[in-house]
Amino acid sequence: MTTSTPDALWASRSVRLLRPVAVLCEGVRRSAGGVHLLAGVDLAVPVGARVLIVSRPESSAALLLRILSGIARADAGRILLAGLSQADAGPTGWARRVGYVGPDAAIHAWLSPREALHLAGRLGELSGMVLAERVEASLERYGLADIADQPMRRGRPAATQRVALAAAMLLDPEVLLLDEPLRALDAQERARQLRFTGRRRTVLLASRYPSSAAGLVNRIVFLRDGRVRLNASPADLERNGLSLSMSGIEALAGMSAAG
Amino acid sequence: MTLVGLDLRELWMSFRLLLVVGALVAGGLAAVLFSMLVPRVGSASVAYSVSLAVASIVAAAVAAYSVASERWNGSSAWLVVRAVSRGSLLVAWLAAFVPPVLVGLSLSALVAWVAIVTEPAFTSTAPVFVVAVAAAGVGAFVAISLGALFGILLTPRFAAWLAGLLSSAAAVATLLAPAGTPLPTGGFLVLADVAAGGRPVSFALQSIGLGLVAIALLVGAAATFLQRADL
Repeated sequence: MTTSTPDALWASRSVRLLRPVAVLCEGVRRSAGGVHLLAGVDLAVPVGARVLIVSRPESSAALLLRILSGIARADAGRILLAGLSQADAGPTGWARRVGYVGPDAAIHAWLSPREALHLAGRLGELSGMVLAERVEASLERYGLADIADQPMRRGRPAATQRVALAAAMLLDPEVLLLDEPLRALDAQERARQLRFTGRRRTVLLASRYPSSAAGLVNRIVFLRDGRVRLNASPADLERNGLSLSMSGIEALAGMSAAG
Repeated sequence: MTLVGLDLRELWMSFRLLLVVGALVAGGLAAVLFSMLVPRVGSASVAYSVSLAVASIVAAAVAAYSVASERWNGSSAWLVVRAVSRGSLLVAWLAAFVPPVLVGLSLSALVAWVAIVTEPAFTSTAPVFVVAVAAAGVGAFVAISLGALFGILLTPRFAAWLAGLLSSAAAVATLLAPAGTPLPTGGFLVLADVAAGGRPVSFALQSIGLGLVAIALLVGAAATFLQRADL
């Protein structure tokens, strides 16, 4: 199977036509307290896909993203992101290719947005003018210029979550993992921020509220009892007269299993 | 260095840095106070030694709370997603404790030396005192490493309490151990006897060696747990 590609290869049109895989999970397992939250997840997400992941129990989807990002551990299985396993990747290679935004911003509250972005850039080995330019552009892009030098603890949660997204996007990652991001923003603003451009970027979005991802995704993956039960497109829901909701997705999964 | 700076700033912003430095400096002041209140041989050095042991317990609790807080509030995860290795997180925390412990210990040693050297029938020398303080400093880092281990395993408050409790138990065990027993925290005993030259420098050097081994074992265990942990 072709996996995702380094920058130089991605420049080749023929490589792009192969639709390389950006996210590959093979037999990913994870139990907690005797419950199989992930019981052998097999998933291949092509480059450029925008995937909504929902699950029963609801924590499975978030756990899968946490495992993909490297902050939680799988009991077994193989994972490749952007063609790299975290164990094999050089530190900067991984940081540049994979971004993660969780439900809580979790950035040191005494940092200002500008400091947080500089820190994220330095950890990704950006420096000098390149780093400064990217930080300033991010502050503008995410509406943080007015509070750029204030400690984040003085700001609103929405601003902190914007900083988390800006920090994740600073290194222009190929794969973006979003676990209930930007919860503090209103629905319109959230949708605007999560409408990512670029055919190369692959986005995996875990959410308990599928309807909030309407218009943002082109694939829907449903996990039940720790396994992938549905891998469909929003158009499949529409064709069956179902809405982009938990009940609609479960109904389509049931129809797929029956059919 | 970026991570060490971040952790140092976290200690500073949360006033935990002042707590560690203050506890160590208070050890030196305790030596002065006791030398004035109880003017007999060894009172200042015993007071200094006990105060440093207490400061080490404080440092252990602070280390446990700091490491656990970073993990539980998600900051560790934020850093690991940016390709910071888990081992680096641990090493950075331990390195962040070096400047406050060095500053606090140096200041307290200066103050304590003035009190100890003026005691009647003082028989020791400055180099012996320096080695004894170094051995006590290594003992403090054993406690900090223990705190880091608990910080990885437990919630912040529980980690701090347990690190403080076990460090206290280790301090009591050090005092009750038969004379001559090699201990990683033996530096505190050398320091307590330093005015009268009760224990040889070789015992202090042995304590430093054992202390470094204990630190390596504790950090190794902490790193192993951290590698397997969810952040």
